[in-house]
Amino acid sequence: MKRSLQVVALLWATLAAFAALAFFAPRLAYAHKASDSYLTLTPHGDTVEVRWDIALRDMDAALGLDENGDGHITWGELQTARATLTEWAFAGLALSADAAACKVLTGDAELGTTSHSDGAYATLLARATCPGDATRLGVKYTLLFDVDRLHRGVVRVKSGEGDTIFVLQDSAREHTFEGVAKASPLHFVREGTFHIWSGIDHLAFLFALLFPAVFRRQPDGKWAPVPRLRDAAVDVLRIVSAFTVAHSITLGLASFGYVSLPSRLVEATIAASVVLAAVNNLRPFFREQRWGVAFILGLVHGFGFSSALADLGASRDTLLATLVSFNVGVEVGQLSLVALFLPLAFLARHTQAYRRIVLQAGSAAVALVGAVWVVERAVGMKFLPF
Amino acid sequence: MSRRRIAVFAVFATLITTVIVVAKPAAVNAANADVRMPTDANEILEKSQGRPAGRKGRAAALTVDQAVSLAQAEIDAGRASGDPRALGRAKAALGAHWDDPAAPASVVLLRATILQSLHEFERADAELSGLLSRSPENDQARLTLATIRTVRADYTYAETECPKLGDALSAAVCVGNAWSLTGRSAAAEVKVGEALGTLGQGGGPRTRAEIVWAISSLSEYAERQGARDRAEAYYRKALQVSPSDPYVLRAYADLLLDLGRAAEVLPLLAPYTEQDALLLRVVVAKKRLGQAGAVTVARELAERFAAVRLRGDRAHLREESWYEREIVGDAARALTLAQENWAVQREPADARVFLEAARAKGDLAAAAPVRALLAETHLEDPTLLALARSTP
Repeated sequence: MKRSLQVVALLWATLAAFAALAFFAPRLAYAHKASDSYLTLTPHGDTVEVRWDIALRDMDAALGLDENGDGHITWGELQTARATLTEWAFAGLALSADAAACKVLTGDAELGTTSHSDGAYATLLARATCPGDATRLGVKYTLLFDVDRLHRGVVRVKSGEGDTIFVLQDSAREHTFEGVAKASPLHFVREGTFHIWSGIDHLAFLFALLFPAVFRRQPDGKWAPVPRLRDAAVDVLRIVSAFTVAHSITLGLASFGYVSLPSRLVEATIAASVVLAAVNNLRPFFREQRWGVAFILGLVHGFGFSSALADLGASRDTLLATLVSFNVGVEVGQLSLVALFLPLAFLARHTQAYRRIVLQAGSAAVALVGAVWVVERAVGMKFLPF
Repeated sequence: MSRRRIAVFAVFATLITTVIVVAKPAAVNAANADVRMPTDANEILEKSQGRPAGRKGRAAALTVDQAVSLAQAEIDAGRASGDPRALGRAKAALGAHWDDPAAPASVVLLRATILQSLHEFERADAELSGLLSRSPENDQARLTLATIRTVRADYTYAETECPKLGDALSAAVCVGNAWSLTGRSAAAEVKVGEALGTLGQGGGPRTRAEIVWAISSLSEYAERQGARDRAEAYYRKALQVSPSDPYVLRAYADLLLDLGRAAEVLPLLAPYTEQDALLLRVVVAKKRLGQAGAVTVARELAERFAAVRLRGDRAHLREESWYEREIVGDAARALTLAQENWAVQREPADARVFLEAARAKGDLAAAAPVRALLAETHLEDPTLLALARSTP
């Protein structure tokens, strides 16, 4: 049993490797193959991340995707059918945690496409919320059996160190996976770090505050390089600490439900904070108290972090631990960037390039992008690709 | 100011970054790295099979006759295209009749046909035996059962029952196959040739599939007599009748490979590489020709085998064994697969992969079951016999 699981896991890994290779080598032909869907479940806390690859051929047979009848299924036609196919797919899947039903948040499901050996697939990325932390994940699978009774659902559960794979079919539609690993605090540390690294607005804000850290403003308003690294480091430490303390406060308040702000307002204000921090480098209206600015604006960013954390689906009973882990992750993310930036900036502080390009032009660019974000987020439209 | 401090700082920075990156880099996102969200709404992702016309749930509303004709249509389409999805749709079309022990003969026949296609020979045999005990006059059941037993190397049923078939051509091919597999290929070729010859003289209307079945059987009889030229002529004739018949394409490609004419295999099979068995012949041909593209195509085939195994299907064992032996070069695995395959089906092609795998592995004793069958049946096939002799 153990060995056969290993073999199956190896098969899956092989398939994944092939999928990656398919990017580089065009296929000779798609296979004629019996129908399978590939369902990946990643349980943590009281949520389950769901990835579901379903063959477009099968969806087409069940739902009819070729809207304009030209014999082809386009990405546009797939997107048009998004709501229908999401509803159809998840009607064929029931998840449960310790026998209590989980709810798939179909409204937030993302739609993409990928390819397997027998053709193009639609990929649904969704999240399910369950009544509580569970060690047993139940899967009941009924997709497509009414159309194709040899269809199979190849299910992979990612939990703990290894993956477990089982195959559901018409004659065996249910399986309960025992031994879901408890969500580790490390998971949320990682999520926090990645949130900072990939959260370009937080980065823009942080860097706008950090650009001038290797200078002192003289009484005449001109920048002068700091003589010692320690001077710059102390400045940076103040700024980062103030930002951290501030966003921790609001992150906590929002996560425990004491305060709640509309997300559009929060997002627009975060964008405004980016503009403010950047413009200050060009036309200073607050000088040596940049840590104070970091504190006040950090309060706003905390609300942003809280919605990111909510998206990760922390469970109520472990919220505090999750919160701390996530926050630690955010700090690790910040500090790693600071640690990369500061020595370089310190070495370059005497050069014209740093002053002109990084400080002046960089700040101007950040201010401009931030301004577009403010408009985008306030009116709910998208102009920039990021 | 101290350069040392800067150096310490830089080292510290590198350390932190390394720790975080090594701590499991972007595992969450990497898992979905293959998922695309195209920017062009007009990008074509897949061919459409047309409107489903309410296929979903329709099985419930069908009469038995409607369900049977729908399922039969799916099976015929699947045979012509080599697409295994058709079997699942046929099974779905039968709906509740699939599990009905009192289902009419037409349903039982379809169940047996589907099971046969899935290589579930024992269950198919049980369905047909049950049906024949209730209605001994059912020729279709008799013919299908004879075919299944022949695949399993049980020729006595075909010998006694095939001649009872009312249709002369079916009877001839049915018994001819058994004769040919037991050392009487010349007689089989005469018998089937005569039955085909009477077609023009009031032998009744024939489906293309029946004619192709008869002609390709003639090819096999000729091959077993060592008459490869005649075999090739038959295959070409069969392809004139039905140019895309998966069975004929496969058998003809194998003959060409045996004749050392791998270059001719590529254009013959190029339009049909969506079928795994045919793609295997393409891979083998490319490899024997030393073509650079062989590696890429082999990888594609490996991906397909992996996908089929992942879903738990075992219908590819014969092809996989050949692939492992000749393309991968893993003789041990090839032999294991050939042995597993031998437990399911025992046609000359199955004997062939078994013998080849045993020889490649150098495990001559392993192929004893094949040699025993060859001795018992007096099969003439010169290629097989040469192989069997080389693995004494």
